[in-house]
Amino acid sequence: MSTPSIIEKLQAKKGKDARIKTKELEEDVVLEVENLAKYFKIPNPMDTTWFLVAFVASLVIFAFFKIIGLILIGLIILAYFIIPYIPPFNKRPKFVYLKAVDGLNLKIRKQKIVGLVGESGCGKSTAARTILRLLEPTKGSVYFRGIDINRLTSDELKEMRRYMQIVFQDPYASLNPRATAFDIISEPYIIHGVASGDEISINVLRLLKEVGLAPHHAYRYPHEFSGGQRQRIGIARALALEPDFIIMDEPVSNLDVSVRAAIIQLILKLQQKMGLTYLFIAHDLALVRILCDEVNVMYLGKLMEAGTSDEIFEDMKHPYTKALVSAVPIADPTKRSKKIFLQGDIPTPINPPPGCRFQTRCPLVSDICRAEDPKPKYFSKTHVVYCHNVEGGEDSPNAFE
Amino acid sequence: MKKIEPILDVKNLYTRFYTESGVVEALDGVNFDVGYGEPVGIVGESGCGKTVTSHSVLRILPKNGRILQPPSEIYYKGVNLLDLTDEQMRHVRGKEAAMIFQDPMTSLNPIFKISDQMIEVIQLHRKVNKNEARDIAIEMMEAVGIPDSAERIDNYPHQFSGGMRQRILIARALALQPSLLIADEPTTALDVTIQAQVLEIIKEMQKQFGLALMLITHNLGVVAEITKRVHIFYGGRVVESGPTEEIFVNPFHPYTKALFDSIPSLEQDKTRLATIPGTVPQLINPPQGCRFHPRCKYATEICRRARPPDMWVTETRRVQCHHWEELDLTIDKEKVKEVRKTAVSVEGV
Repeated sequence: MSTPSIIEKLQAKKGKDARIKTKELEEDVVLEVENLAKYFKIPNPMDTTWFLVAFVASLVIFAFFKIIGLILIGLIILAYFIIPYIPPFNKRPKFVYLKAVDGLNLKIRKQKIVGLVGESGCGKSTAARTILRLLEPTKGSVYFRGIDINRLTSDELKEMRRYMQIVFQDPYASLNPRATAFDIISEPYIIHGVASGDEISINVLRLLKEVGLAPHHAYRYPHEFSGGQRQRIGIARALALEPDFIIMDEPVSNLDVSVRAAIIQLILKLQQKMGLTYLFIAHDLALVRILCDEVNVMYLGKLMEAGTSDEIFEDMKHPYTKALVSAVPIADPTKRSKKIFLQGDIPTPINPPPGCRFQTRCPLVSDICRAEDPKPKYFSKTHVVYCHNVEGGEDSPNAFE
Repeated sequence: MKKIEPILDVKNLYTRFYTESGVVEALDGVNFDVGYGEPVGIVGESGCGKTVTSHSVLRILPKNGRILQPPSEIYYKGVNLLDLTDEQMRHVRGKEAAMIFQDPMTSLNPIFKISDQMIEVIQLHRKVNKNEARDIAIEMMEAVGIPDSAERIDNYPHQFSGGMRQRILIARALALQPSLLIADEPTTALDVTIQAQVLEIIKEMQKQFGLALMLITHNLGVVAEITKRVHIFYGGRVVESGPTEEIFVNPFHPYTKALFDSIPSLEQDKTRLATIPGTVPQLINPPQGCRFHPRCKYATEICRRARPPDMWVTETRRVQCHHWEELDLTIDKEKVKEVRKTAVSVEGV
């Protein structure tokens, strides 16, 4: 493309425009997420039980003593509106925050597959959407090729999205049921105006072939495809604009076991062929083990441990990672893993307690865990653990240079 | 190995669904058995007939589903369940054979307290009064590890998490002291750490009550950890059955082997993730001959034409494949030797 790309344009504006925030990234880093947070604001409803009881009671009184009843009803209605403003009731927060992602740091290197794992409700998918700014972040920065995308206008962001795409989890919900495969895959070209007419057709057919579908599939509707084929269409759509970076949000968790392997092979093949960078979100640890170069383990919106795949699976430090890995059933009856059973369930991320997020289930919990957020401890340039009870480690990755 | 007398013996089970777009041959001559007090796994991908099998056994198929009779026979403790009246069948369900469903979110009625739902079931099948039933319910809930059972029994389902609800369902199923427990993907909807807890409870309960367990799952890890014997389903047929330890190292059927290869494990490298070409067959118009032949790399002319016979190939193992003798699908020969050795030593004892 001969015209200067949006990244070049924005780089040129650097320094002149106060709105554009940039950061010098290490050479091979495509995307850096710094302290990203996404809070959902939830109304904190008042407990209305007593008002209702009093209201019903005054209705009963009204049936016998009209005037007293009317006065009571009036007072109760008045109280309902006034009480929230009278101390100590006015201290009650009107909203609570669901801290879905709370201070996430990621570095995604070029042509690497970076895994983000965690149980359901830990904020993996919210993180994915917030990184692409499909959800507006509460705070933090996402530097893509050195430019903070959270500061861009919607037009700039739209152009930027050409370089960053996403494949969604559910291939049944993420494709428009009224559009044919051709419409779905050609839509990115039309929205971004990068191709027209025959060019689009050629590209769509090429993409279909690339993801292992036949040309005659182009005019079929999503319901005529199997789950695996739909996910292939989703991948073709993500590839249409030749992005550098793709987020795979659990692309195979809704597929059958035997189909799953084929899609994984496709994802790997495309990565090698086109030099793509992936952020791969999954809850299946075995899949992450074979697929990812680096792994980030999340729990309740925070990172617990991050490192290369070998560091995480061979030399895990965090008690949560240990429990998570030991919980995976091993498909080998001759081997029985020594399981670590976590007590209780995952707590809600609404108004989480101070300190380590894992404190309620951690077997090693101590007083400091309940009081303070754990600081990062580095065990190599890439291996970082957030836990008070892990001995050793350096305060900064620079110690290993 | 001594053969265990089966509590459930399914012979030639044919189940058909009559739909607008045609007849679905959901089960096509399924043979398998579950021994007294034996944990047995039923493994397969979605649409292979695992769930239909369990529903056929308990005769809870939807209205358009029919079990062809003859030749189908389902012997439970020597009685053919297909000959029973609806009234007699009701006594089998719950009291003799209980079932846990996949989704703990929808298996409990949201508008009734847990106590109501448990007591109703217990009183329906056992001659106890309400207080006794309540005591039994609390006792069972304690057994499956629900803290403060005596108070929490009066909570509503939404006040419990997914893992806790699945425990409640297990408690409810076991309160009637059944001899056979059918668990249909009991942990699929749960997270790994919760799954580990629930599996441990199922394992414990199975041992404690000497239950015959029919565990339906697609997760080979779960099967390896819990079951002694496994039946592999594909396209409405049982392609292979035998002791878990043997099948996992030395499968006889190409599908079993392919299934194992296509599942990533924590100890594998990238190169070993093999794929099975094609997709799960449509059972409205299934392939002729062997149902796996369109996806099988060893398929020959006979596989396309003739249905493979259901053969006992050793004392404990059964396989449906024309070519099982010629193929060597052993996963790791060293490991097989080891397993055989341990098996021999166990027999010696």
